[in-house]
Amino acid sequence: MKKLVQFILLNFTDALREKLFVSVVFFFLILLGLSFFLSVLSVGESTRVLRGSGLSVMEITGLLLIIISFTFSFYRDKTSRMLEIYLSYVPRYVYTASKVFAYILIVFCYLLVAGLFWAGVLQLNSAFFWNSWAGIFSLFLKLCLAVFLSLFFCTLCSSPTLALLSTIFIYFSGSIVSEALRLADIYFKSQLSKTVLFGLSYTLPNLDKLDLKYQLIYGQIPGYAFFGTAIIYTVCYCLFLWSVSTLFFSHKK
Amino acid sequence: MNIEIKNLNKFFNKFKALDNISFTINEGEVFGILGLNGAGKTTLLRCLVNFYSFNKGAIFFNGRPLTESVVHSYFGYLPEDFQPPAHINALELLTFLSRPLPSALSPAACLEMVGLVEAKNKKIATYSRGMIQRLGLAIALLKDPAVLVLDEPILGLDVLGQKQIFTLLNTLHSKGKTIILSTHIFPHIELFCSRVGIVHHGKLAFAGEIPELKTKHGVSYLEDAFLKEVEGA
Repeated sequence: MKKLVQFILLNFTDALREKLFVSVVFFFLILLGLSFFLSVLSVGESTRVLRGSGLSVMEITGLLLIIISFTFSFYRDKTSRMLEIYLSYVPRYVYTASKVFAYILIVFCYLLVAGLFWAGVLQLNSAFFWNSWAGIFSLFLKLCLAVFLSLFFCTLCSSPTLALLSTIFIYFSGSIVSEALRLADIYFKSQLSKTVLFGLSYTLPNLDKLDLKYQLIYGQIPGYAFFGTAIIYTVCYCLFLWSVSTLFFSHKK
Repeated sequence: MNIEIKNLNKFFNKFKALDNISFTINEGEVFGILGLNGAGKTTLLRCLVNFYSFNKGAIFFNGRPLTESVVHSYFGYLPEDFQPPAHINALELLTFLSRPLPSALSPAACLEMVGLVEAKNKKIATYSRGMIQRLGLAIALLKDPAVLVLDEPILGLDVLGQKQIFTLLNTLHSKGKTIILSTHIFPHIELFCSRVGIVHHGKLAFAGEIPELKTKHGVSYLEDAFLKEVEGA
């Protein structure tokens, strides 16, 4: 446990000091500024635009931060041969766990910083309400899943580019899975195709179900049961991804 | 605490990287692994620290199979041409690595041993190649290991740096540490190693004492003996 905590801190410190973290926060602020002007132009809808665009901007920038930073950090450990040193100190499962937990901490810090800026902008426009943080929490769950997806593809793929693209592809596939199923239900006649698609939809992370953007735009918030289920689903899915990734990673060359 | 390697075979797909390698490293000795580029030295060292699995054979540490936990407890490892995280400093890196260890040396003591005390609070990104090698050695020493596995420990070091590292390794040797190292610099091997192993095309061409190798080929220099050994293999 001590080893895990120290390796989490090591990875977290290194990732937090990367220029990418500051750059993403800066990029987020620019986009938040743009969304502010967009809200000014959307007469009568400015509150909704501010709420919706703020969360979207936070998600996109957070996703970029996580998958780029995580993927390149994972492959850098391999190419820089630090991995060999780390594995002479800790077992492989501790290494993978420390990597993901460090990035979950990074996600947390990023969303905290971005959330405070966003809340400030909402406050200035009298659009702030405390439930906005529920939206940020749902983003946190989604980005945690993105971290574990990154780990999965990093252990599976031989190149960082392939791992990065695969993570983005699965993340966005998971975000539109319900819509895809609805269309498939209308246009696909074969029962077999529908069954395959439904099977696939259960395998993909159901990120659309974790998304609270649309509810928050209209000031609505789901009950505790939703959050309970969402947390359990995320934890189980992440645990599954971590187990499979660690299994791949433990398969020594 | 001797290390016994028995009939070690390692394949990368169909390529045989290690071919039936067997030798023993005794407790407290300095064992040099020599070989041309691509001979299999690094693969052998990676098998020794359990980073690579092997297809056939076995490695024993003190008569028991070498496991991950044995490596974590008794082995210090410095890989060739490694690059530590750039955004933290040496003291932080060593502190993170040493905190969970029950019998670790203090990070400051390790940095002092390798001559990095003055640079301990500087970001690793600002380090020269030589400083990075010394930091690697400090990381390997941190566990106060019984066995040090060093892959090209003096890579990128100037003459003074090489001398300092070998002086340090001599001190460690006198304290009874077992040191296994691969290097291309023959004068150091001749001065420092009690026995050598020559790996050529994945096979162990020779394992024994340096005078024995020289006598075998009737030469005065280790470099000549090495060349004759690999040319004749």
